[in-house]
Amino acid sequence: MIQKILKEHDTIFALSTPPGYGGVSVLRVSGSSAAAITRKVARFLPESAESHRLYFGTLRSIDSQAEIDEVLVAYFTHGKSYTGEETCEISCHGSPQIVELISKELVKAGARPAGRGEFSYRAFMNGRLDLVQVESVLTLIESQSQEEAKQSLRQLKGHLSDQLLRIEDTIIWSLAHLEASIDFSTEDIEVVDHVELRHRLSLGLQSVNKMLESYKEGRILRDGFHVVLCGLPNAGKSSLMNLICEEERAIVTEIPGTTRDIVESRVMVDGVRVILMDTAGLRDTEDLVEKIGVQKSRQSIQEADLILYVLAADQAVLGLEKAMEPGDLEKFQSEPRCQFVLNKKDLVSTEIISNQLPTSIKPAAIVSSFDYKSRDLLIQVIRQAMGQKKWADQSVILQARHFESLGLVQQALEKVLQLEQMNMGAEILSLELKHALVAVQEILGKRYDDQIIDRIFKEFCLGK
Amino acid sequence: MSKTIDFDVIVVGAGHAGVEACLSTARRGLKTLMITTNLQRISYMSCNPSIGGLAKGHMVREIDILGGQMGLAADATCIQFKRLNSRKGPAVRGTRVQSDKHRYNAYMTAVLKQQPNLHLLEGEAKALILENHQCHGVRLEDGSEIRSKATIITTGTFMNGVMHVGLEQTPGGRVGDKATQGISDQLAAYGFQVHRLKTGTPARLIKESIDWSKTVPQYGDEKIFPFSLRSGPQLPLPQAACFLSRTTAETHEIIRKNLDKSPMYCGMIEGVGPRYCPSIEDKVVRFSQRDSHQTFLEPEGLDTNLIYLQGISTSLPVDVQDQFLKTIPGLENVKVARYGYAVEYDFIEPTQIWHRLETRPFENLFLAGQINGTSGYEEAAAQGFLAGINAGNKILGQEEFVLGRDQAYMGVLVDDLVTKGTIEPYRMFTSRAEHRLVLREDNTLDRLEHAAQQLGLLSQTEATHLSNLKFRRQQLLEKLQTTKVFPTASTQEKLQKLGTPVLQKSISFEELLRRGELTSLDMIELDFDMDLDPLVHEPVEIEVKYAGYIKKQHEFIQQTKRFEELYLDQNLEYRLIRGLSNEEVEKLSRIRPRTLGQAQRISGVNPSAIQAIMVHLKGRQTLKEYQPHERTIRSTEVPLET
Repeated sequence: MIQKILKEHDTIFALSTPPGYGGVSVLRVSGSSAAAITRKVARFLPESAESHRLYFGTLRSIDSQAEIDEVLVAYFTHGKSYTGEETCEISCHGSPQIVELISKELVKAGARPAGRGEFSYRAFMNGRLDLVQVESVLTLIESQSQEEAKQSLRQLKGHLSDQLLRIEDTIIWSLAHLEASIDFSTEDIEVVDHVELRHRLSLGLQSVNKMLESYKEGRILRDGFHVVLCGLPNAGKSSLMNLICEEERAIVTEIPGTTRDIVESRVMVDGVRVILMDTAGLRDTEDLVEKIGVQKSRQSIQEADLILYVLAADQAVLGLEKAMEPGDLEKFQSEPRCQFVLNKKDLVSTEIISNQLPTSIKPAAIVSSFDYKSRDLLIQVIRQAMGQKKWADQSVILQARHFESLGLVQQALEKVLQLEQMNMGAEILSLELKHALVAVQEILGKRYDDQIIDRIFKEFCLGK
Repeated sequence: MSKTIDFDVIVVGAGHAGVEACLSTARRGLKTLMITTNLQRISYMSCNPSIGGLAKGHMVREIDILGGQMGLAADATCIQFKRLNSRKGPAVRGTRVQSDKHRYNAYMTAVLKQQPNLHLLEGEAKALILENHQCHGVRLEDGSEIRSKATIITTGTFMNGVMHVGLEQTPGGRVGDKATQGISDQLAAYGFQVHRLKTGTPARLIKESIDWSKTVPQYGDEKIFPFSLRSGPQLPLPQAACFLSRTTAETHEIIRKNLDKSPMYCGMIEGVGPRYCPSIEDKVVRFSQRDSHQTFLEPEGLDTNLIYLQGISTSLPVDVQDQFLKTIPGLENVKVARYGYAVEYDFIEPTQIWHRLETRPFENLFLAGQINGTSGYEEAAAQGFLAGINAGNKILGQEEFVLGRDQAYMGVLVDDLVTKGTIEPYRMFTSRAEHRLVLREDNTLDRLEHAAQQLGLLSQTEATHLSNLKFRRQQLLEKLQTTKVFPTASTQEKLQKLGTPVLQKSISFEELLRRGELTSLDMIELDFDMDLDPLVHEPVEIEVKYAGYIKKQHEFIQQTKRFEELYLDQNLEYRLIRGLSNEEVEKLSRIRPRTLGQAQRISGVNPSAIQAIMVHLKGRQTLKEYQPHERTIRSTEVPLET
């Protein structure tokens, strides 16, 4: 970071539209020499360019004056651009070759390719973005799925800030009342209404809890929805994974215990990245490598969002002990994240399955890796598991930093409510509440000023 | 320019700031001159006849431990003692006393007159002698010059003071005393930002004209803890009562009807008044849903028949005051000795001074009290004391004396003023202190004894007395920690009798005392050798009972220390720091924070700016130890036309 900052007088540029072929690509040039540098390749840009205006012309190589592309240059003056610095945005035809040619010319002209998030960093440093916004932008840059991009945009627009501001307001209100009861106890004012105080703080806490819950969903958007395939060796987990991913990702053999390490594969479901993990079959083994694999499997099961327990139909109809490791039934039956999948339906007739499958197993899908329709069934199971999380409608916290700070707010609010119940003094409640306030304001990138005192004067009639 | 120096220190003004200032220099052997326009009004209580209050009482005790006079004077003239918030936590208890106003004035006058090295002069300082960014003394009305090494201005509400009663205006700083003119205009001409503030005072009533049967008497506390540890446990004066009454709907009606005659409401007063001490007009307008406000009728002294009407400050015309006063129960036939009025006065925007209360543009010029935008006798006294100490330190070639925010309310006061400035008269509140739990009245000694020893204003006997007291507290705490109480049959029986659970195993007395239902004195029942002096066992008990929270607070202090100990170069060029807004550059360049911690407290300086400064400093390795010896103060804001 420090290195980056030491170079902050440089003029930087980067492609600010997705790479690849498209209608238009936009290169952003930002820094105190943005216009001067751009003018070297786009001579049509007048010396007295007006901010927020588009200039059309031919972009040429500095050395040979050879034509590169017909472009539009948007000029933004210092203080009025995204970064707060003088900025030119060059819109060229959407081709990687053209973008590369222009980039080379810009380097020749004296600009430097921007680091990841450097525009936003500059915008933050120039006061154009607040901390929440800048972090949102950084997430946006890194977002790898459409859903996540939507979330980041929503956050940027201030939904998260709105919720936090309401929590902040509750805390300041409470502090104003507590502080007034201390500093103006001799004045003719209403003492703290503890019922009201409890009520407001409880609501605040609920809202914090909700946001914290949504963190998990935020994590899913950022890191993907983790689905673990587990079950006895040779239940056909790897085949199912290949079926879902539509690729030969995992090695499939008839030898039980083929999969020893976790094999990961990705597939998009409704715009969310789903990460499938094929694990080593769960069984007691003497083979050291397989043993480690089994351990890893168990760990990934712990962290999964959805567990697909795969049973081989031909084994399951012979009795559960044939299709599951002892103890697994009890463990996975009560696990809300787990769904049973009956595989290899092609080996047993539907009749036998319905008559002989132990009733304690209620498979979410009965499939075969040779049946393409089975893929849809499995996707449907995954979709349902994801669908229980309604992240699409609420503001999801995306940053680990938010999660931590909100955790502090939660702790402090819980503590205050607990202390209040114990009839602790206002100064003690206030101490805890101030921790909550600091944590909320940290997320908001704000700082404590005299908000409490200002609030006291707004709420109470004081005066000797 | 070798003109003779007449005095080491000149103090202009004899209010609560001026008195502490001149005592703290004269007591260190510095030849001091106090100039006041009226020698009859030394430490005069222009407004309410009381000292202390929440957070203010804390400061009185702090001034006292350091060797100031206010606590002793308040104890000697106390006619009602109250510990406010006595049912609340120890950190937010505050002492307030009603003082006999005339005895207070007489007491301080006598102290000043007896003080060696101190000279009193009745006259008006018309101008400061300002040369080469230095102040060399004052010029009097007749043009004569008095030269000094340091000058402390403590002129209160007198600089360009204007009194308002209704739509009438009279120049003056207080009824009966004329305003002073010259100094604030001169400072403004030299580029100081000078603004206006407003304050007000209620009517004084004649005791015999009040029907006391319609009021409710309010008595002081039986148990007394004088401000000063040097005062002894008893107070010399008999104690008096105050009386409570309330305004009525009729009162409010009259006030509402006459708002057009209020200088506040027809735009004649430009100065900003204190929000915590609004006039009755303000209360009626801003809180129109309330049909009554309380008022305390407070005697101004034992031998005077004047009654101060707390809560009803006003600048309405005299006839309106007469009308509405008569609607307050008990005041139906009231006779008014002096009507309420508002005062507007000049103050110097306090971000123009250093923590040592010396102005940035002019060396050897110190400002203290209302001139810095504060309100209250205690706030004034605290600054007067610190300005005197720092003027003395400078003359004696010693380091500046700055108290931390984690050390004293006085430290919070000064840091707030020089960092944030103020737009209304600044009053101290406990909520201004982020380290409130460790800034208690009871532990003032423990917090400041070391500083007091350094300053050396206390006599040898006094200093020994204080360090003994501190030692006894430590001793008691250690004894509580190391002495065990065992679950013997007799102990268990005693515990049951005290209404507390019996012991499961032996524990220390410290652990036992932590129980909410037990007090220090209960420990005696259990054969603990308790120190019976409440000045010893009270603070120790508090430390024990609140240990968890106090520890937390200390941890918080340690966290903030990181920034408080990052001293900033006073010549740092903020405009070169990338990422600072123009506003931030302007504020940081003007306020020149001593530490990164202070920079953080400047309003309008965002956290990103602190990061930017940190990154800038880290990148350039210019973080260096602050050098308080540096005496070269360069000003870029003030023109050089002396």
